[in-house]
Amino acid sequence: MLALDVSAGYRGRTVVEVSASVPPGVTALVGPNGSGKTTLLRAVAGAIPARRRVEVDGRPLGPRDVAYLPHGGLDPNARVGDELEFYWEVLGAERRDYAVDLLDLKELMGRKVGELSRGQARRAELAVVLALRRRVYLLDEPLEGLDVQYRGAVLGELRRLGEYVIFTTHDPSAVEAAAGWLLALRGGRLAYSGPPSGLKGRVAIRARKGGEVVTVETDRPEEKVEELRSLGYSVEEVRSTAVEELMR
Amino acid sequence: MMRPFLRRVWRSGRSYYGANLAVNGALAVIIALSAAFLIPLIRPENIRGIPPGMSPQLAYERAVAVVVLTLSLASSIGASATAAMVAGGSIQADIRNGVYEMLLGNGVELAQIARGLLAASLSAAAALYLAALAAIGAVVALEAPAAMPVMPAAALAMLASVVSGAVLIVFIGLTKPELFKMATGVGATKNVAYTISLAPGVALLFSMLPFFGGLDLGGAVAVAVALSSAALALSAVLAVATPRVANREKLVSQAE
Repeated sequence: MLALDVSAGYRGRTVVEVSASVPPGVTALVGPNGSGKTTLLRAVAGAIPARRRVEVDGRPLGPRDVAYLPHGGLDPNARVGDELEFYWEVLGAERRDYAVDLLDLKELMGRKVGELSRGQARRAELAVVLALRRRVYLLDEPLEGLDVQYRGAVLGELRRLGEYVIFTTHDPSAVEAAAGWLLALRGGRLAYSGPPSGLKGRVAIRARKGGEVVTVETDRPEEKVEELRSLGYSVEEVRSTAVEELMR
Repeated sequence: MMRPFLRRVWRSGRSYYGANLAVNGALAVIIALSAAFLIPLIRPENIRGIPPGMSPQLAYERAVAVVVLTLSLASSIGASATAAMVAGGSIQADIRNGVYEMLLGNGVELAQIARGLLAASLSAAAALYLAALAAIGAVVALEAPAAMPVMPAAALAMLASVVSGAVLIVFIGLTKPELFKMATGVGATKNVAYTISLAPGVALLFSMLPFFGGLDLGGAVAVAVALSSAALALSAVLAVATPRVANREKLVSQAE
């Protein structure tokens, strides 16, 4: 288990205070804007000063055990190849070809970062971190700006990256597709820690009768489905809105 | 670890402040070359207020030596500003672009970053110092060989000016990066960080002014050597202290 006990903030003001244990595998870290997700990842990674205890199976995590993807990190005036070379040399990247191939970066190497689209720049930023071989990966919105192709590729790789992967997202479908564990923050405190399936909450039901489509939210899905059917509706989709609620 | 930082600082410092670097570099060259025009204007018969007992020839040699010392320091301020801009420009850009957050979050120690930046900044200082020293040295050798004995003191003062600027800009960049912001005063706009980094060189330059009147070359050299040694010693202390007092939070949160 990865044990986190962190209290961090800026200019003496505590922004996040979290104690949690996370099992091996992929964990989604969710919460509304300003809930402390980025600060928590920064603190766990050691990028900012914090009261911090991070252990794997009772052993403290060393600085070279963690790979951390922040927002940004590349100089818009520099070429992609120069930036990657700088980081990989300083950080000791061990699987450069894997990252370049996964993120399809060969053609972008000679271009300036500032000339890239947001999604292309994010692929280059991801390559910095995915080329590292570490035990724990902390990825702050790794899917931000990626198109469907690369989004699928990155989500598919998360499980293979390392022993523990924690990523933040505002996308419930990404949680569903990749996460075996969920951490939710609200106001800098832990609001939920557990498997996504353990969330009890409201469900959204989409049903149709002829050309009329209705979407109903309820916390008693079985009864509502029966009721809609008795009224002549055919139920098209039943999905949990619990993860979405944690993101609001 | 040093080499990637050397390459990065020279590359990004150049790309962010290319125009300013060119202007500062040109200024340093102009100051050095202005010595070629100023020195011939000093003639024994033009020197007034020669202290009793001093021959006009000796007074002339001392006047030229004090001018050489002063112009050397003025030239070194141009070199110092250029070197500070190479390192400071890179630090400013890297804070804004989140480079230190990427490095610190992936296990790079603050001390490693500080050492890399100090090495890069000192490399810029060394290159520009040698260029300024060569320019001044050539002018003195050609036009005022009698002033050559003052060159070791001038070289030391120039070194102190350039090195203290190079160390100060890294110290400020890693401890109080907010000083890179522009400050406006009465009729002036200045970048506080660069202004502070030039302060030792400017102080050295102004310390020479009282010696013009009395032609006290011995006093000028003694003051230049004493102040330069103090500035170099202080720079060494700051260089050692920088990794210890660098502010991790500011390097990460200033980007926002």
